[in-house]
Amino acid sequence: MKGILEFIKNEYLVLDGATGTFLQENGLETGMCPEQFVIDNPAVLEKLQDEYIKAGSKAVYSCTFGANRKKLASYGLEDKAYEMNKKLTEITAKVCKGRAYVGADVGVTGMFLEPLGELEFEEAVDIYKEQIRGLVDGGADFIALETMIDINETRAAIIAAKEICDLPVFATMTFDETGRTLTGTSPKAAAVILQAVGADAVGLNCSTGPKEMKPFVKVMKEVLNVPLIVKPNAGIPQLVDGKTIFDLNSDDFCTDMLDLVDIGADIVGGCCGTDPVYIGKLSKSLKGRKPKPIEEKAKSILASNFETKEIVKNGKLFVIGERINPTGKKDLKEAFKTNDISPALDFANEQKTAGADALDINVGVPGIDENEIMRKLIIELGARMSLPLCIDSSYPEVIENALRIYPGRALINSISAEKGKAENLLPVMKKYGAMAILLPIGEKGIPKTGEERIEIIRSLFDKGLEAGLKKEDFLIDGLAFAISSSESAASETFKVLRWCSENGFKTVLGISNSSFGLPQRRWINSSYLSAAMQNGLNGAIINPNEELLMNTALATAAVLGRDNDFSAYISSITEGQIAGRNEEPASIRDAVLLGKDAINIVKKEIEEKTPSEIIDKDVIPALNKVGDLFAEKKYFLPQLLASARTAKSIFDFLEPHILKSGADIKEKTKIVIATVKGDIHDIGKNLVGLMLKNHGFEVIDLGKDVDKEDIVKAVEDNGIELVGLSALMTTTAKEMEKTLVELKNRVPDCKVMIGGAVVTKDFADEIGADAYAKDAADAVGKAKDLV
Amino acid sequence: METINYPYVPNRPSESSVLRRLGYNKNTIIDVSDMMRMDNMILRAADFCRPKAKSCVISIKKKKEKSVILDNGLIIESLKLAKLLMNSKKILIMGATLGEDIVQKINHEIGFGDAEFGVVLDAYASECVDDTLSYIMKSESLKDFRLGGKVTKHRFSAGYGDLDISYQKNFYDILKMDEIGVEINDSFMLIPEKSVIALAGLERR
Repeated sequence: MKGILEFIKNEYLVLDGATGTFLQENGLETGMCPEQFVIDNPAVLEKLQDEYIKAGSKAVYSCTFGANRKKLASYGLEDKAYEMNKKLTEITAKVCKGRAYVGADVGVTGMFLEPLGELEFEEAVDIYKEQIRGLVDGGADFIALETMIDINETRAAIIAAKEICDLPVFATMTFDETGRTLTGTSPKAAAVILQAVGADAVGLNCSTGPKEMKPFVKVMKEVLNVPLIVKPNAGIPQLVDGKTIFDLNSDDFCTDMLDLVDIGADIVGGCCGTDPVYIGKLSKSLKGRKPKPIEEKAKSILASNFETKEIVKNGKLFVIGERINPTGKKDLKEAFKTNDISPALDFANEQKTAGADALDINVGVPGIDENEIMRKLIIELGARMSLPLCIDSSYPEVIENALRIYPGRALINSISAEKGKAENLLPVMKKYGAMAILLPIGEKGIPKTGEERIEIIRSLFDKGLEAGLKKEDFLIDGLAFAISSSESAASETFKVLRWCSENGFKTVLGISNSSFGLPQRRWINSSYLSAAMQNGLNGAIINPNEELLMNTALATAAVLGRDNDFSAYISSITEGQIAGRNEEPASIRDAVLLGKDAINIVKKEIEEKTPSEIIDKDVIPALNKVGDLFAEKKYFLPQLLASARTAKSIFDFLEPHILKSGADIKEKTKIVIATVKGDIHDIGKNLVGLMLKNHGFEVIDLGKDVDKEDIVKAVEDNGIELVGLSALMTTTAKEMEKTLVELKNRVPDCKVMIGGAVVTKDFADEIGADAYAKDAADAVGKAKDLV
Repeated sequence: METINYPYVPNRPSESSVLRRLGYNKNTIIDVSDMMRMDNMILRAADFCRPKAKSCVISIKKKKEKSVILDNGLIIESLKLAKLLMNSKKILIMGATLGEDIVQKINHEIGFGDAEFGVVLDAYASECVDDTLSYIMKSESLKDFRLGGKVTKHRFSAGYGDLDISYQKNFYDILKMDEIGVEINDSFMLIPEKSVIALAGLERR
């Protein structure tokens, strides 16, 4: 038989279907180790796999899905991983001999990699190496990772396979109906990451049926340069008469699978709920059809654990946030020295909010363990940051270590022609599937002319090609020099940008270098950026918090026709207005209704109206209207608070005016509020307190877990006539009754209203409360009624 | 009993679930700019919420109509729980917390800062801690899915229905919730506020 990758070029590869359920129907009992069961009863699996091959499977998977030492440990078989994998693969190889390819099945470890769990990346690689050695020695034709739920665990397995054998590696992950793996990776990100790290075929299996997989298959196909695998369940499990069945019969399954083949699936099979009948029909329906050759997509796509970001030739500027770099940042430097990465995490979030597309990570501080700090940051940001990372270090080993554990597709910053750099980093870039910035700096230092830089770029790129890399894997740094250093500094850089653009390379610049030595640098930076974009610049390493630069980039892209329908420009400008909330409401009433700043209008109106008129005719009616809208569920909680805040700001503004006019300021009604003894929930109670304050009450908040004695004392000491009690649990609601009884005994005129998640009107009536408030807005109304 | 630690859970509650919790519905009148501001607040809230969790699987020794006896000897009296675990051979006990900082942040924002953000953060945190339990259930379900394993669709907590709140202490001890900074008081409440414990069943399809 020819190699499997050769086979796929010309024919659809039909895989097998489900195995587990068949084993259960043939003696595998709950609690038994499926792998050990097959070793003890090889004939059961042999029969099934023979049926699959007869039905048309051209590859079947060994029964080794759970045969890694972590999974085997639950059966006390952790020491047998190698020999079990070898034996089980031999069983399948015997059935397949000359008829089908042996896919050596590898699954999850059942543990989470750090920081999601406690398994270290290298231990995961080691676990998979042990398993894969057995699979290889047992006669596997290819390694088949399947039902993977975490992208980094999948990467660990691919890296393990690539480090110990030359067999092709197929990798499929499982996505729920929302299109995410358990740990949050999108199908597109998974495709980019797995293909980059060396998977020879990528796809999805289990969890859903073929119909649900359709949109995911589509997005994966758009970025894949390797064959696409689809191995769905026989639909969605349904409970019928207490038994779970999958909702697609073999005909429907087959019809839906052909849709996926039309979209671009190259390797097909079935997962839970499928059997040789399903595979037989699928195989038959593909007879005579040839897969389309895989179209080469020359895309430059980075990926985080969650999402992808593409650098598009004629798109908007790709912004790489430069803030995580200790140069010139004393606090960050000091933090790194004490192993503290929290300021860097704050910089990461801040830059994401400001609109960065990727984040540069540089931890270079003399005297620190750069490897360790980089490792910590990569683990943290890898698990939580939706933007891809750009690994920036002078040390190749720091870059390599970071790339190894990063659960995405990163950008290396940077590879130059200085001694040892390209030789060390190009193979590392290839192995981990990273992209890289090529820096045209050679042995003789920084070349001044564009031509010299282009020469270095050509030479570096040739080395890249030799290492198996492609043009789209690189961004070329044109080298931005200080324009104050030479009149031709900018034009030489722009020459490089133009050459790159004409020759299909994408480019990047560190913009701030351009303005060194000049005052008001931001003007130079923004003009330089705009000019560079006109010369073809695709990406920039900048501070995304600099509004002028970011807006210049957006506006220039719009001018140059690099922003389709001006969508990025318009959306950004709209957001800017929102951030400033700078639309002036038409009236005080509108301001309260919309929860907007009203002071400017009040300042104007106070010249013509008395404070009481403003309060009675504008503010109060507007607040009442807001209350009505909330009650009608046309407003929701944040809107209620925004309106109340506006009203309070008007009351505060008017208070001195009332005093000046000689009118009496009504004394505020005091209310004591507390969460009763035993209950520690006070967020809801605090919200009630805020709303009461905003509506003119003086609130004495006693906090949570408050003894009845303390509540009564506060009421007596302050001459209070109104109390609000809160409780969240049924158990602590009982404490309300005790408090209420005590209050009524000692301060008979005091009114008590109660509320909380489990409290009802009936309960309030039962214990003799004066009022029940269902939420914060209702509490204000009830409080007003009671006084 | 061995517990599984989840030092970091990568879940992100959906925006719609957070908005729903805040009272948003199809009739809510809100202009686009305020809605986008809300979206930004939800994004900001996500940065403050870092759930930690623990779980433990225990075999069920015996099931009666109104009680369940676990392998560790714990007898749980509850008709509703017994019903939920009707087809289960094992019970999944799980606990999650967002830690004390988030509660302080919410209270600070409501009391002295940006109250709108405070309530958004509160809603996000509640969804997030709840979602963490869903994550554990999904992860447990995926472990054994191909061999017909699954987790019950619903989960159950002490203090709800007929499952007495005092069981909270048993579950708290089994999970060793103190290891992730959660305390329990005399009323069996978990401290800090955004902490939960729940039960589900492991069954077969």
